[in-house]
Amino acid sequence: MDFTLSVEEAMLKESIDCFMLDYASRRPASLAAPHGRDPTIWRSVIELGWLPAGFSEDVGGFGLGAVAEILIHEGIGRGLMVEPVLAATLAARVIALAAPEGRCAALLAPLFSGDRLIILAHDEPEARGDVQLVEAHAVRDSQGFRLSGRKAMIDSAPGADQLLISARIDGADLALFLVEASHLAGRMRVCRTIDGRAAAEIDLDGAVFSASALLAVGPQVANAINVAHDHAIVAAAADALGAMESALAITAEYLKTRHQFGVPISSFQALQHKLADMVVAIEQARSIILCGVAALSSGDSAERARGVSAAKVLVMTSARLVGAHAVQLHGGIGVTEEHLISHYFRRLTAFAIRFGGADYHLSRFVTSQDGL
Amino acid sequence: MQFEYSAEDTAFRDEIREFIAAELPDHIRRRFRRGWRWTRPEMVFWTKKLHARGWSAPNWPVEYGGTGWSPLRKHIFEIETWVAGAPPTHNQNFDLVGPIVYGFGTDALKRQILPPMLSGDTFWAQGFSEPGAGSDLASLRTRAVRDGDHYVVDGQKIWTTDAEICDGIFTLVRTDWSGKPQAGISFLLIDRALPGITIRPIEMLNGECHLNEVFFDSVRVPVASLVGEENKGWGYTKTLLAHERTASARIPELRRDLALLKAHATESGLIERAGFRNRLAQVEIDIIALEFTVLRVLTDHHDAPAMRAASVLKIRGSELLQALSELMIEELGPYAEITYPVPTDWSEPWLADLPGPDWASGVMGGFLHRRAATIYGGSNEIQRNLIARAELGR
Repeated sequence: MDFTLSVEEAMLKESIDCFMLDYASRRPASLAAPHGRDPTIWRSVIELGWLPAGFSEDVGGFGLGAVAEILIHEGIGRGLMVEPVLAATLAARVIALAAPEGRCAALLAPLFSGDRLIILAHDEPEARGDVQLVEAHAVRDSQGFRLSGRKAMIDSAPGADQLLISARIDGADLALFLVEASHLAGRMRVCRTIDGRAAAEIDLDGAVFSASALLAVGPQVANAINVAHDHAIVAAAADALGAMESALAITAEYLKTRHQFGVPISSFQALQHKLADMVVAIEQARSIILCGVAALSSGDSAERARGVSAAKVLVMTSARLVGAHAVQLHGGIGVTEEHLISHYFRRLTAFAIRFGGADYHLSRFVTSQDGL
Repeated sequence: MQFEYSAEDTAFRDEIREFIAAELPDHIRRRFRRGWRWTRPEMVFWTKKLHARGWSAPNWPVEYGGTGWSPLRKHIFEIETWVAGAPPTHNQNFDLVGPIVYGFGTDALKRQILPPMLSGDTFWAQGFSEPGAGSDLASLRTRAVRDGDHYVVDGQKIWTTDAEICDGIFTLVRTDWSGKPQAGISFLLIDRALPGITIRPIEMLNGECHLNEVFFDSVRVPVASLVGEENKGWGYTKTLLAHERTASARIPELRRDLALLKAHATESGLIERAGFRNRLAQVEIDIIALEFTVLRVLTDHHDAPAMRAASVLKIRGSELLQALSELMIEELGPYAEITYPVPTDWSEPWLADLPGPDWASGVMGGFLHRRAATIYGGSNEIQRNLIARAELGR
């Protein structure tokens, strides 16, 4: 048991911090770019190796594990990067865990090198965090497969080159289909999230996929989707942690510079105590994320579910408190588009919504076997 | 980062577990798991058991008779102790006065004070707070005036835990009035047997009487009982608190109560109700996060200074003790209303005459007493002031 960063982890963190410092001035360009992906920034992300960092060497990764991913996403959250690192990593992990051995490297190489963006289209409107819930169907016919169903709010689907779509074949086994995004262009209703990411609702009713689009089918697909989502939840929690840290720093600075009644408002104890509660919430969030990382490395799936859902529940509670206090302590300027604190608030709000709410994750925590 | 306990640490945990299982009598285990505080005979018994094994001072260096364990091993030891229902090592002796004596005292003082603590023959009580000096401790007024080879001590302490059963009181006393309040405070050990000391127990809202008022009326204390230098006591105490900052998280106690609450709620069926079950899960998640915060402090030297650890741990530890107790009395239901006598020994003869399950007697007592958890040790409001001050760089 030792939470000190290893030499490699510390070096990675330094390079992340360095890049994200620079990102602040470039973020407006990312927000304005088509689908929230600025080509120059994305090229840098690729060169920094943020996509393969956490993957094992045998699939073309750097072997730095889940710790690398939380460091990366904490940095991303600190600077509110909008580029689809989380979504790309989620798709990559599903491929790494579910694709046939022979195709895995060939699919991941162009994803890691930035040549092709693959996005997982799995979530459905009724799931609310339950990744087992898949109502999309694929029925075999002479042309290959005829699809039905709907995929909800797929993060970064607009701008993807390929989509990895989950559906049950003939109402039973879960399968993954890899299709060109252009094939589904007319079926996407594209939107922007409150924190600036591109997303899409995908209507699959009547879509036809060729037989060769089938990438994988069987129990390993459900397992891959489960595990990959647990990694993504912990990564998203780390993103929220980074955003909370920045929100705290910006708020503390604001309290010191804003004057009312002839004194800096930081001199008021009522405001100091709100700030202190933000600190407590952030430290607890940082700690439970370590619990989440520990759970990801567990071989036991119940223990993994338990630790990850604990992280989701606690970090979303912290994110709500920190976001709300940060806005409150800024006063009127806090609810404007112009002030960055409102962007942090929206990022933290989006985190609480994504990957299932407190109700789902509390239940999942309870029903997963006692691992501690 | 390394998330697993090493094989050596796991073997260490098993060794502690086996020791407690073999040595801890049932009557002590039963009383502790009901949530009652220890009595002096129990504390003497268990300290001597630990001493025989060389474990009575888990956090002291080997040269002073301690175990030399790493902070992580001490953490493991404490969890095993609490969860099994064994008395904790005496906090005032081993976490507070002992380290100050071996850190700043003379060799003569170390030889006089430390061995009888280790062997479970003397117990010390902390005399810091005064009627006019609670959160603002530095304003304390108990005075020690030098007269030849003695200090003459006059004044009053309050909330002195265990004074009624102690052998001596370690105090902060004022020896200088000229400069900043913090600069005129000395750390003085006062033998309880000295003439002029009056101890008056304070009956608490749960019927327990282990907090006291202590009056000093011209008590003549040998100068040799001064720890370190005159007027430097405040600094010694602050140094000490920086080393002991994870204790206030109360993880071992939280873990014990969480396990008991789950067992009782499973037995009563309350755990099947989604509302109760989810509130319990929420508290459990908060406890897990707090334990990971403790582990961060214990294992990551880069992280700890930046994390304002002591105040965060104190705030969450105390709040979670209260949250758990709220669930515990809810679980107990109607029997939580009963005033059970405070047991003064293990026999508990009255238990058979009162309604309620046999483990009910300490639950409400614990709930009531834990209102103090957010008050003592620097109130949670003071802790928030400290956090804000650090964050605002003032």
